[in-house]
Amino acid sequence: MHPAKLSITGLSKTFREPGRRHQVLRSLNMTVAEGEFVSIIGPSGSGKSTLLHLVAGVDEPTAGAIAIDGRANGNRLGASGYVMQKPLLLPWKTVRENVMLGPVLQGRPLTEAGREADELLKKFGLSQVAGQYPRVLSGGMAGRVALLRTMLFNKNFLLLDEPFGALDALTRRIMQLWLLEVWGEFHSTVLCVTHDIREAILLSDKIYVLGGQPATITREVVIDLPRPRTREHLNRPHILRLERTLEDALLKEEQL
Amino acid sequence: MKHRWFSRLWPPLAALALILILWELLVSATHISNHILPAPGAVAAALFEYRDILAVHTLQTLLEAVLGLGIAVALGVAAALVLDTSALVRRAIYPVLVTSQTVPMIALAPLLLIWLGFDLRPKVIIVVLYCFFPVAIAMARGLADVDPEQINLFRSMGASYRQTLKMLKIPAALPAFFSGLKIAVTYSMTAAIVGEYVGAYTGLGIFIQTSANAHAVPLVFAAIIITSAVSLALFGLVGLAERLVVPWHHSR
Repeated sequence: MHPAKLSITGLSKTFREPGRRHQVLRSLNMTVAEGEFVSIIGPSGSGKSTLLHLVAGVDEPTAGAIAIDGRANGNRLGASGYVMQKPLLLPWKTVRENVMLGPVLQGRPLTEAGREADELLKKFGLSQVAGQYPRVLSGGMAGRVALLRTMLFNKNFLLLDEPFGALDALTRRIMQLWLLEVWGEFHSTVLCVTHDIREAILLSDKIYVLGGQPATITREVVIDLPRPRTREHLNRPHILRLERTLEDALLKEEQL
Repeated sequence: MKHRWFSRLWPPLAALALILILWELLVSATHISNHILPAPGAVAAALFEYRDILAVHTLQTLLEAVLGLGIAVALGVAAALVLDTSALVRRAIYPVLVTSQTVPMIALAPLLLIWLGFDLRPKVIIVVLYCFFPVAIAMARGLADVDPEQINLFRSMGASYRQTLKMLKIPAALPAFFSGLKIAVTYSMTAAIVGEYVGAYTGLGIFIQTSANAHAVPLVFAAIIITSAVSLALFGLVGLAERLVVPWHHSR
């Protein structure tokens, strides 16, 4: 068995607002092995984004431990590459300069960062937009650029927060297959948050279902499908049954 | 390109021309004396006749306005950066800033004259007092309005406070900064004139006052027209700078 890239034990998060305490996550346990693609599904507002914020280190847990590469509760900022819901590209920088952001923040030489950005853009078919500004990009393109920006910063461990949430269904499917290609290329470890069950099944080795108020892990499912994956895999009988089961679980949560 | 400029410029120019024609006709039809309401032609003649003297006064006022504006921009941006450091600092300083703006500047002008004398400094300070606030408030708003998720992204990439400020917050705040600067620049000439009004050797403010005292009404109008023209030119320069500095905002 691979060593755990990420292990979370007894994680709780309570937000304190004036006159109100709002617990979002409750004694949550999960592990992501090195090189694994793990998805978290859950109803909207179930604290999925909060969980990624905590793993990325932009927020601190109220209780519990988050260990990346076995180091518990150290400084997690920079230990993962975070792809947020919106592409969040800087409008005053070209696509190439946006992709270079990570290395530039790390203080690495510009020429080196530029060369790496060019290689990555070329490899994933974005060379033709390298010199353009984000405002001319389609939603799908902007999403790809955001992913490559994060890959150049840290391709080892990716956190994806509904990275294709704002896209139309077709572009979404294309992007999912593209993500699989990128993931296969770099053997990254991925923790992906989504509310799209088919997306989770297509991409993941393992799915955690988040549920309850405050939320915790209610179910853990291993996806028994060979790789590389194609859309045809989704039509296998046991996968269709699994999809139905997960859908029922989420529907029940939404009604609570 | 040329066509677009023309289509944008002709309506206000036509309106201006119409006003001038009506004004000229009104004055000649009613036989109002030039010492009460001069016709545009008389103002133009005065402008031409006194061009050398007006140039000296205009340059003096322009110098005060530009100096004051420059200092106001530096102080305004600095204040905005201080306001941005924490919510506590913001809550402490913001009301003080707003209150400071309720002080009638025109009442301060004679005081500054008593304290500092007849030289450049009191005028520049008046300009700073007028121009500082719009710059500071607009810049502070711009810094505060940066998408928090964008800031989280920078933090997740291990960016320092300085890096986040330099590579994210300041560029993101530039469009807001320019909208504040546009307001400030239109105040600057008027503010310099207010400063000169209470006491100066040169400047459009003192020129207007002495001309009015001598009932040289066409010269008052001439100075007013110069003030407006210079203010418009300064505004235009800021607009041009905005296009150069924040092209991603303007081309939307």
